[in-house]
Amino acid sequence: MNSYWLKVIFHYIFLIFSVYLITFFLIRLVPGDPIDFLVGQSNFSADVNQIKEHLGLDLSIFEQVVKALKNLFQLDFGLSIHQNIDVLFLLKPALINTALLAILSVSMAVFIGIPLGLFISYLNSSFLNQITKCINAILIAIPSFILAPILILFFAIFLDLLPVSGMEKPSSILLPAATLSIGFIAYLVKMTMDSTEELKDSILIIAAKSKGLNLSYIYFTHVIKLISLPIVTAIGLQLGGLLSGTIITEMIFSWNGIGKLLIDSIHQRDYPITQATVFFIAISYVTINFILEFIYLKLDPRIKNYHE
Amino acid sequence: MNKIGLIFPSLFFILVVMNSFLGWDPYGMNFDLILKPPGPSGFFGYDDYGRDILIRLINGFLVSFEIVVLATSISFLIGICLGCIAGYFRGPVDQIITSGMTIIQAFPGILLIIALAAFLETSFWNILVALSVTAWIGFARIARSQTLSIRESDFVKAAILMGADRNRIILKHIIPNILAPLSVELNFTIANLIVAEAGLAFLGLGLSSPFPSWGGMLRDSIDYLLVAPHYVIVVSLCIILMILSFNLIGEGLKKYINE
Repeated sequence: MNSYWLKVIFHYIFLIFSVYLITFFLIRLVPGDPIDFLVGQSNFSADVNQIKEHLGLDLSIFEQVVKALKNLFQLDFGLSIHQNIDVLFLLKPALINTALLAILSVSMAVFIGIPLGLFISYLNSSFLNQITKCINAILIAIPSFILAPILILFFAIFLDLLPVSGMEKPSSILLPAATLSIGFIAYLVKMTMDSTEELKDSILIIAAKSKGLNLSYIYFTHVIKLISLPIVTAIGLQLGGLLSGTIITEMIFSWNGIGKLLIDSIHQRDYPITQATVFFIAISYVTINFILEFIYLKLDPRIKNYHE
Repeated sequence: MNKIGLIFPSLFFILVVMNSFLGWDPYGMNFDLILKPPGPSGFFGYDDYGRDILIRLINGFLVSFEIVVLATSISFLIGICLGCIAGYFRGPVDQIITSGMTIIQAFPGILLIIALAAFLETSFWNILVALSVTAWIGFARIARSQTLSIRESDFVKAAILMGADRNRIILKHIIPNILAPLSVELNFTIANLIVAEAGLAFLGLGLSSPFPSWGGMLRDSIDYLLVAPHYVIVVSLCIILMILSFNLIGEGLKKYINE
């Protein structure tokens, strides 16, 4: 342990607290009295008082902050207003479902994108490069809410191979995972091609070639190691981004993940769930970035020196 | 090749201008034409209420683009101000602004936009706020890093030696020099905000229907995926082409500036 890691860990804890406080203050953005908003027409004073107590809105703002911080240490995120069960109890299966989707789509992208990118740059045909660049630009630009209907139309309706939505069959995960991974595959192909392009004339490759090594061997052992740092960054960011990026995809495919939980809670005005899901998505993102720091250091120990 | 990106947005601008003169009605329903595929009377076909899809797309473009352009300009101004201040003064000011940026960036993608839109009432201005809250960071980061490097350059030192004050250095020497990379970012931000705005409308958190908006139209069209595939195809093509166009313009500008 040294000052570098102390700094990183301090930064991480600072972020967790700030994110928690932001999600805590979100409910206070609701215009007017949030209680009127929640209770709506059945304006019985008993209900109002109960909900006020439930949300802790009867205390002063300072007391509320203290109570919220205490709850964070006890991992108590309150009860759902509508279903009256512990929010964590609802969050756990949703987090697992989302993680399943995110991990499958990222691994699909990694196992297709990187070899494909290396292979295309290995073939070294300018015609193929141009076409790939065009396709990449289009695929990266397509948002998930457009890709999903296209995939449903093609695979679930015309070909009738996969279920349209839901989570009953094991194959239901394929369409949402594909929706999430196609843009990333294009991005990985682009990245691998760009970084290999830069390395092509470098002294390392020339040395390896003059040793008499096979070109494909050079690509899949030397080059892949050299381009791994930016790719690991991209994978990490994507994995973190996916936790939020799945929101729309989960809605379309009725996949019971954290994104669907978030949007459903917004529509039902179940604020404790909304607060907890926003917090958990942000925290997973921050944690993944934190883990990335470790991986960077393993891949390139020089990074530590840059910071000091 | 990146100039291709100019075609589609300008086409839509021409249509918007024509629309404001001719006053095409985005709400006009014709029940004989419900979900009619594209034909000579309506080039893009008709939607589930028998309204012309092309006219609704044009009107939706006007609303969405108004929000997106306003949000981009607001975040451009905020970003350039805070970025320059952080880069020029460094020290504790820089640390406060940078940690503010990291906190907002702890919310991945459109999460914070969704959360804000959920807790604020849905209105034009609140969507604007929700989009601007995250969009300024891209500008601020670039402005900060550019200012940090330009601050050390010889012409700034010369200006300081000649007795120029702080404001003059920032306004006359630093800002003109960081505008080029920021203008590239401008196009990417527009493309991103078009996606975010359409995404909000798609999730039912944008301006509510009957108001035409691209995201809302896309959501409606998905219900008719089987009966009227033309609806979903036309709307998605428009969104994709618009995003692609702004990305291409950004790439083109980047190349032009770097050369």
